[in-house]
Amino acid sequence: MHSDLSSFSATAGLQELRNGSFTPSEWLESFVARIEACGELNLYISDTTETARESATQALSRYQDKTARPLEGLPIAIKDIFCTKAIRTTAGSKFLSNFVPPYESTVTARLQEAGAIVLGKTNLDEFAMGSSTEHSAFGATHNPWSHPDKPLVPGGSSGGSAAAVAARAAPVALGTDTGGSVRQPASFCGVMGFKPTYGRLSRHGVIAYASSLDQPGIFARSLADVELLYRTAAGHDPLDSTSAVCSVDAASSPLPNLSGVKIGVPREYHTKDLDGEIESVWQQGAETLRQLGAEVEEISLPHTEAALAAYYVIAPAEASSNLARYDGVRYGLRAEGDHKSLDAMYEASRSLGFGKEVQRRILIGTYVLSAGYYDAYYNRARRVRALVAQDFAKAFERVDYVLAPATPSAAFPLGAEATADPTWMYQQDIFTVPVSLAGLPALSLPAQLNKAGLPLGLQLIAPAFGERELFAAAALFNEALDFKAVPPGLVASGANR
Amino acid sequence: MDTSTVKKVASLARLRVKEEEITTIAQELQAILGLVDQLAKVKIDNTAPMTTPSAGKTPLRPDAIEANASRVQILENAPQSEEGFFVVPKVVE
Amino acid sequence: MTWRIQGASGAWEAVMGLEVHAQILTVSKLFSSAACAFGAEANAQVNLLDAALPGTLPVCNDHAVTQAVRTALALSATVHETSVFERKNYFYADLPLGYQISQYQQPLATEGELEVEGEDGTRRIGIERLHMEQDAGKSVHDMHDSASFVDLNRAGVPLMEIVSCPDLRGPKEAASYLRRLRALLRTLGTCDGNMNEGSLRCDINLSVRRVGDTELGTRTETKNVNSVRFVVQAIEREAARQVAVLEEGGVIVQETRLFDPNKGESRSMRSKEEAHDYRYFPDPDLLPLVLRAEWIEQQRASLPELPQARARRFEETFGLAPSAAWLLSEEPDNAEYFEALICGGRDPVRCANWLVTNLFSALNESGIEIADSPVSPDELGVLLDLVEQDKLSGRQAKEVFEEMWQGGKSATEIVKARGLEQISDADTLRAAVELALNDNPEQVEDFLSGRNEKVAGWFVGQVMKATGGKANPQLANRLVQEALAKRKS
Ligand SMILES: [Mg+2]
Ligand SMILES: [Zn+2]
Repeated sequence: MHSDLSSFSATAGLQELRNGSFTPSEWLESFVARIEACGELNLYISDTTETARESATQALSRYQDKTARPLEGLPIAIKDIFCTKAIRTTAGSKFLSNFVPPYESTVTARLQEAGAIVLGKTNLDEFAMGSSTEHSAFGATHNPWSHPDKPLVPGGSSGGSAAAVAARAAPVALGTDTGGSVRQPASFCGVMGFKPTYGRLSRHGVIAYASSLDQPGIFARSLADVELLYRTAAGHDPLDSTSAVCSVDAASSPLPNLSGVKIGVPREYHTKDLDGEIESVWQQGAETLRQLGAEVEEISLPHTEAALAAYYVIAPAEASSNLARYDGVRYGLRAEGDHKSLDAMYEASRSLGFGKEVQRRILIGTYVLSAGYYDAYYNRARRVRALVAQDFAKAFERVDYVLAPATPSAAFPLGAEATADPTWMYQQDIFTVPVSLAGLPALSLPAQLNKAGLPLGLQLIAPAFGERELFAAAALFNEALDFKAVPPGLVASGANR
Repeated sequence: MDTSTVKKVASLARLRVKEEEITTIAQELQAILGLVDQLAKVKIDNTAPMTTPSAGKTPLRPDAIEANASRVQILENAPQSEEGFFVVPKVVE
Repeated sequence: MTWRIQGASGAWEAVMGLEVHAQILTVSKLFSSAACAFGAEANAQVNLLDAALPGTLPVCNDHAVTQAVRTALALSATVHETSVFERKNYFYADLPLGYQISQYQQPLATEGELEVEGEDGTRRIGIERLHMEQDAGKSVHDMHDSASFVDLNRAGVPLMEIVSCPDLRGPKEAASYLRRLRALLRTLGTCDGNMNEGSLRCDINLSVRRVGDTELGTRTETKNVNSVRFVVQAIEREAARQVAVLEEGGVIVQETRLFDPNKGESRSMRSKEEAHDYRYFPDPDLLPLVLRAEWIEQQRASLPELPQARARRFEETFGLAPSAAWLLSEEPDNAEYFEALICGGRDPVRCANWLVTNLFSALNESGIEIADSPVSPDELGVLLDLVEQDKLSGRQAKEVFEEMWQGGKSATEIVKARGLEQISDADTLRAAVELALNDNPEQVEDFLSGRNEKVAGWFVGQVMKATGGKANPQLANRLVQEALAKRKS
């Protein structure tokens, strides 16, 4: 028996299960132990150990019967924003702290139908609004790369999922990315984070933040894992009207090198806030691609700064409407007391149930949609969004991929946000938001550690529905980047295969 | 963003803002609007607005009853229900 | 004459538009697959989406779209190849999502029209727009002292909102508009038009101005006016109220008023009037509704004959009076009954008169729909044929019809059982006439001497009496005249 099965990637671990090197239960227990050991990181809001153990037993018999499915016995962590049938789903909000959905989201259903086992529901910024996982009614998650005396944020909003994969408290995890909520925490935690083309993964059963931007995403420590989960969960869903109709193409085939491939490096991403170390990681990444045979050239995405402004109009606008259903009538929290009127009950319940950041975004969203401001804000933002999408479309006439940093800085200390104005945190999304507005697929890869020993990530961005090509190029790039570092306290076994 | 606007917006959004917090909230919202005001500088010409990255048209489903959720399912998460109804404070029309 | 409100200081006219919410006839809801049937127990026809559970998403019902498009085409409206669902945001206990999915800036159809019979004869009333939207649930306020009860069965039921231009000028026109719209919807089968069950609901936008003025006054919107009779009532009351306010030097407040059918009055809904700001924006959970031009044309080509065209045909082909033609065209079942009755060559005018005077009153009295009439067109046809063949008098036919209505027996059976068959045999009747003349020489003398020519009628009466009312009256009359003439010579 292996001493630490938690270091196996999904692909490698599934291979061992098929070989019979260890059992699904043994693999599961290694994660249960890790979750326990990482208790102070506050990775999970709810664990589902009991049902997971039953599922692991059944998985073993499927292996014995030779009826094992592709993901049979693979433990997965799920951001607590995917509705899971009969498992409490909170969206990180006090409002939903007792909400038990009577149905299963499409993405989690597809993974479980393929044999995956749910380890638990991970922590997040309330309703996915935030970049630090501090805005959770269930407490902040800590980055596994933190120094013991100086806790860092894991990024957000899918911080629990990113940190769980980094800390080996799950081999793979689901997140959602609205403006960078998968790619940014992946970068902060030194794991891979993938956001597919908008419409590739169903939003059915995903608690909405901003409908036209929300897209489920995947965290993993190996590119093969990303592709495995993506291919299992992707595809048209008749329950989501925005689900893409085009079929998911065959798995990517390995490329010998990147000759003939053109990579664009956007001039406008050299922002004043860009950390010097990230700037150099970015340059080295470009150099690595060149060595692989790619041509790297500067491109222009002129509406990059405006994109952030457009995002912070569109996302709150949609959120203000999406979150109107939380009124304390049909589910969720209702403030105690003898309410004088229906409106008094609404106000009391919503003010009690929603945290500060959520309330702030609802207020902004309500404001930008209200009479007199609609054209200056919401309509203008939608036009800028079209320009952002056009920027990328023009760029992709010249290049095959865009290489960009995932974040302007490495993971920042817990509580940093409280000392600054709210827009400081919003600025963190500058490199991820344009991609979300345009609905493009992007992969955040861990590239290097900075001097402080924290991981830094790079994003590879592809044209819409270019996942297959993105994975093919990313495989070579990732191999060349050769990021092997693990958070302090973990042993870098060769198992990140 | 003045405090009366904050109150008006909060009331539209059914959020209760504490009197002592209104000034802070107004400042925070003003800071966000400061970021967002970059929109005004963009030359948008005749660009058509973009609502969603999805191309195409809304799919249509056949007119069929799949299954009504059971009343139990519909009401099980309700903070207050009686005789199969959701119960709310009295609404005066 | 154009409708006028006579004020103390002169005459006023009313300017009105109607907003009609018609439930689109479908089996499932607009965006969820829950049932729409009327009368289920509370919250029994609710899906997770209708209760706005987190993570649920709308998917549009294709039949609802087809139904709305057919309605728009029947109203001669332009159906747009692209329309957009938007969210209308507001909070209410029976609005689970916190917004209503509706269409706003780009509705399904615009610029239609409907011909109505008004105060000044036939007029074309413009239809500004027709769009699709979801219905809200229902709040019940009288089940508890301090609580309202919410039932979401109606939440998400598909509606068409049909908005007229402010072209209506009087209660008669408004009533005709509503009646004709209802007939159109029922003929198309796109709405059952059942106003009692809330399938068809009407709001009235009304303002008044002095006769001769061209500018519009401030309007009010009276909601919840759910019968043709109430529309007339609400218009008369609201127009009079506005005139009274203005004549006293007051101003009309733009407001929403709620019609109370029990009192026949409306009152201001002041409590809900504060700061409505619906913050409409395109629903990002749905993509634009896109229809192919050829498909729209197919729908247009397959529309059934519409009530107005049918009424015109009944007038022109069958020579019916306009009122009868409309009565028989208004309801598809009426027209079907009528056309079944006249097939085989029965006289359309007589048939129409019979239906309008006898069958419709019987239906009205017993509250039965024509489709469920206990007397079928075939059975009624047999009765009318007996009249046509002079075997029954009109009065007898009515009696027979009444018995047929009670059920079970055919006209022939009843006639036979009652021995009602009219005596139209000339020889039999001639004998009866002779007998009557012979028995009453005084009256014959009166006639012959020219003292009383009307006595002929009296002899017909004698013959009727002698035959127990079965004599064919026209024939008896002729034979009496003949017999008297013979005695004269
Ligand atoms: Mg209205
Ligand atoms: Zn409406």
